[in-house]
Amino acid sequence: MSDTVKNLNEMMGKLKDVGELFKFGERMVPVVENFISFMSDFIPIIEEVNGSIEETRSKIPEASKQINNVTNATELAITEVLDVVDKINDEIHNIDDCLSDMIASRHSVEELVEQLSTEIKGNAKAEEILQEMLNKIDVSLELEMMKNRLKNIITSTDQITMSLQVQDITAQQLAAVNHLIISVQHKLSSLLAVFNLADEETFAKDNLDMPGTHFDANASYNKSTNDQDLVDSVISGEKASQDDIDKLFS
Amino acid sequence: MSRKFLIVDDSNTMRRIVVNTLKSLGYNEYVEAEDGKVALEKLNADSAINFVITDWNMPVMTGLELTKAIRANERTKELPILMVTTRGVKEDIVQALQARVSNYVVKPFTPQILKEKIDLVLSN
Repeated sequence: MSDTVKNLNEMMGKLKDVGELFKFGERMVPVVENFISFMSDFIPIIEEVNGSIEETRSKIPEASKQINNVTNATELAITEVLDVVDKINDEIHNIDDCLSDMIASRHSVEELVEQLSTEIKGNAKAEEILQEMLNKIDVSLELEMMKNRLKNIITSTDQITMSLQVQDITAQQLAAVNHLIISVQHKLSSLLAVFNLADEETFAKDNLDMPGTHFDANASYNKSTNDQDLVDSVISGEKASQDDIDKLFS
Repeated sequence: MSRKFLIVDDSNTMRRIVVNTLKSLGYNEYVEAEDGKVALEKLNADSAINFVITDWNMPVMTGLELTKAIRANERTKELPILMVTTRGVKEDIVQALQARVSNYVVKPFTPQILKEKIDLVLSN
């Protein structure tokens, strides 16, 4: 076989391959058309997502500001409550002092009455009047009762003061939320930079400064003594090994 | 011996509550600081301070860092330090003990708990 025939055969083979390629191309056309149609539908969605992200990102500074406002307003209100509690406590202590003076004064009166009853001994009428007078002015029980009631009020104001610790705890929780949303803002800015093919700095310039992490995200207002009991167990086993400490928590 | 407390907390409310509790327990001498750095400055400026009550989570310098700084200073290394914090998990407690806090109180606390811990630290 001459070289010419060989070359023609090779060319025929290549043409066959080209033919197969065209057939494959024909089969691919609907797929490509579907893909283009899908992308035509998808682009507006992407644009919408892009717009939503931008809108969300732009609202974050206001949300963050509102969280800080809540923290500040709560702290201010709690300070006012503490001022009032202080005034109540001062008044209670003043009343308590007055009651103590009255009880002391009552003891002096009793001593005088004793002297008087010695002086009027034998005068039945005078003794009767003195006894009646004593019965009428005897308020010692009431005074003691009032002192006990004041103690109860002090216990209640102590309880109010302790409950106000909730402000510190919620402030830490809010600080954690604030930190989280500012992190989201920074992430969204990065994402927008990708979508818009623009410099990240353009979006980052109005980002809020990342606050410090000086909060306990797990802070909770729990009045049970479980946590303190746990602490006490660890402290009492301070000289024990780490394994011993681990067992206390298992 | 008279007691002068240094109360360290970034929350005004908590400092106020601790002060009120101390007053109700008969302790009337105290100074306040809003973070560990200010606390160290006050500690260096006032040698009468002989008891520290500190929060853990604070800006600039945390209570844990403050504790380590106090323990590293020859003059203040034996100072009683009571950590008062919301952090009540095992790792935190162990970490605070390793930094050599004298005792540890979890918020929210009652006046009785605070008194008990102060007395315990002083008796040691």
